[in-house]
Amino acid sequence: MLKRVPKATLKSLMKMKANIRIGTAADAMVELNLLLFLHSIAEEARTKAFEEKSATIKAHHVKAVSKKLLKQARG
Amino acid sequence: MDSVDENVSARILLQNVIQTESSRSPITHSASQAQFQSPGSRVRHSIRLRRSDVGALTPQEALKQSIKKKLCESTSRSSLPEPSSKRRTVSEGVRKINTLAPATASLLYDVDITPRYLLRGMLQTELETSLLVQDRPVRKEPELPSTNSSLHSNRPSTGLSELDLPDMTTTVNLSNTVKGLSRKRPRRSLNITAFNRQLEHEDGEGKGGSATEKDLSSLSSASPSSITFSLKTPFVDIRTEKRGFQRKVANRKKICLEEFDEALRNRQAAMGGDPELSVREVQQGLSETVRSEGFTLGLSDLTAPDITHDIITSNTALYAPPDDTATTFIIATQDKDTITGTQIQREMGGMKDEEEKDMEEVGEQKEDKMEIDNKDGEDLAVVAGQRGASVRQEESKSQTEEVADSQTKEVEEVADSRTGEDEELAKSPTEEEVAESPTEGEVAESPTEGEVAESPTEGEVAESPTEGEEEEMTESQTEDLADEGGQLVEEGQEKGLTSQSLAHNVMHISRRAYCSEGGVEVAGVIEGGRGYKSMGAELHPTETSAVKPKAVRGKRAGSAKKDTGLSKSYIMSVFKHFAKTKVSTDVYPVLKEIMELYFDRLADDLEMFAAHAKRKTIEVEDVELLMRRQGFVTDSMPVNVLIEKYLPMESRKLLIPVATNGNYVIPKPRRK
Repeated sequence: MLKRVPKATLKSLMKMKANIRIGTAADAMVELNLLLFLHSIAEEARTKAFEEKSATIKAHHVKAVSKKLLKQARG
Repeated sequence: MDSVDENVSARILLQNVIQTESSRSPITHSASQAQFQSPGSRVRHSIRLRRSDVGALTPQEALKQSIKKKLCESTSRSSLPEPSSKRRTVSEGVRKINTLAPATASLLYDVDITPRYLLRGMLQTELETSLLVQDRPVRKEPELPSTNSSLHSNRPSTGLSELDLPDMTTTVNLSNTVKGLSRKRPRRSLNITAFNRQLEHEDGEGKGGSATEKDLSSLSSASPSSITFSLKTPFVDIRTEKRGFQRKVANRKKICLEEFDEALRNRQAAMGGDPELSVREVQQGLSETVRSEGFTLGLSDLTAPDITHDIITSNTALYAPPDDTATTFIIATQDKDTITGTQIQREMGGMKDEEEKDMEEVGEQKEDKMEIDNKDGEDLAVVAGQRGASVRQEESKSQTEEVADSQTKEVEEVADSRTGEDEELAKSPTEEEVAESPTEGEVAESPTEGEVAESPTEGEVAESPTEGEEEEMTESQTEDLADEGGQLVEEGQEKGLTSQSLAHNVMHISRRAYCSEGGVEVAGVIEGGRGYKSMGAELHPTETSAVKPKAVRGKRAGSAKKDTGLSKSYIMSVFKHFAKTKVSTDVYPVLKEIMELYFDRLADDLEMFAAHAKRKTIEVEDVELLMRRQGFVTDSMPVNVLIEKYLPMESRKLLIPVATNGNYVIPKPRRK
């Protein structure tokens, strides 16, 4: 939407991580997943920042939120 | 039976008729008439008619009979001439009808002129008449009398008249209708033409006056001329728009020029008229002051007023021939290189270095490397809260004394509001300086004020349009710097800012300012100014990798960019978009770590899923399952919806089969 992550990056990351291959369409799905995750982070962080009555999202907001989210997104 | 009364009873009459008249085929009216009349006694089949014939006709009945006779005659007569007048194809059919008609007419006459039969006759005749075209009546009329006269001499005049009248009426009606139709068309055309004429008249009188009205009228009339009118009307608007646009630019330039000239004169008068000497003196003075006072905001305060003045005076840079400066700068660059090398090692506190670097950098505009350094230097300057940029800007303009003054001023202004800086920047003596000062000013302010990077960048952006050369260079540089700046920020704001980098940064910052894109990037750079990069750092984004805490990966491929992570800009943009509120740039290092963590876990899980399915490659189903487990995909939120929602078209195409023409589906649906 705003910027396109080159597929190569995703693929390289995957390859780096594991010794396994990744299919073509799966790349897009992974990107989707990434976007969703980012979205959830952003939402949570925004709520947290709002709680503290600040218009901008600060780093500590994000940090506080991330831990919880990471846990939840582990499945 | 003779004994029976001679009064002929119905039955007897019938018997007589049957005996006398053998079965006959339909005959013409005349023949039937003759036949009937010849025997002398009219034998009517119908009882009604018999009654009328037999007994004394009551006056009403007699009337009826006469009317019926006439009708029959008319129908027979009308039918006869038809074939001649009508077209052959039709006439044949008509003839048949006619033959039938007289037969029917005769029958009617013979049998019974009941209303039913009459109606039939009328319909038949009417049919004939209805088929008439305009031409027919014409043809018919002359023929009618001929046929009538030829065929029937017995026809009463009334019959003819009757025939003629209806024909005439029909023809008249048709003609009338035709005329009516024809009238409409010319009417319309007249309307259009007249309307156009009116419009033309109107247009001729006043162009653009009643544009809207004309447009409406023209639109309504839908005539080509009206369209042209409508085209004319926007003409006025364009002018005004252009004016509006022009004003802005023109005004600004004018002011700058004038002010600059004045300031320049003032300065020269004050300094004694020797620009070079004054510049040097100013520079020295500045450096001294810098050393003595150290790099603090206070220094900038002192120099603030001067800076404004310098900026005004330095404004000429916009219009000064770049060649002079370039040549001087080129020479200076060489010196700068050597100097910068030494300066790099110094700390940020060395305003002097920055100044020197500025001088050097100014000349170097064209050397990317130097520029990069300048940018770093700028960052450093900002971090230091020094107006090194301002200093540099001035230096770059070896031409004028303003360099030193601007430097000091810039330093002063760093602490001042950004708006002031912006103004100064706009008036920097040289293009470079201008670029530098705004960026520097902003950079300086941002670190001091915190995360106000956004606003300064905006101010910079506004001023940036003044310089074209630097823009190009700065753009490329800014991008690099942006990334680098981000990295710097991530690195934790190290304060290893080398003076050289500072100077460079200042230069580059100014350049960045020119680039409209600089908004966020400059901010990032400003904030990350602390994490200074060495000369080589900018060239290699490896710093990011160094910054990453998790970077340790077995297969890290040297210093390849984006080797180990999603690009920062991408994450930033996506996050900002999702957040819908302002996002401070501090979050990005944190965010990046989180993303890496997440991505690792993601890959692990996917690997497990694929292995579980006894496959060697991660497939779409694996990712889908993962999403389901994560809770992103539920029964009420299917995958496809998410795909539609988030992914751009290219990736979407991959996932959702799209049917194109030729029954070709993309991507090919897998058959399992």
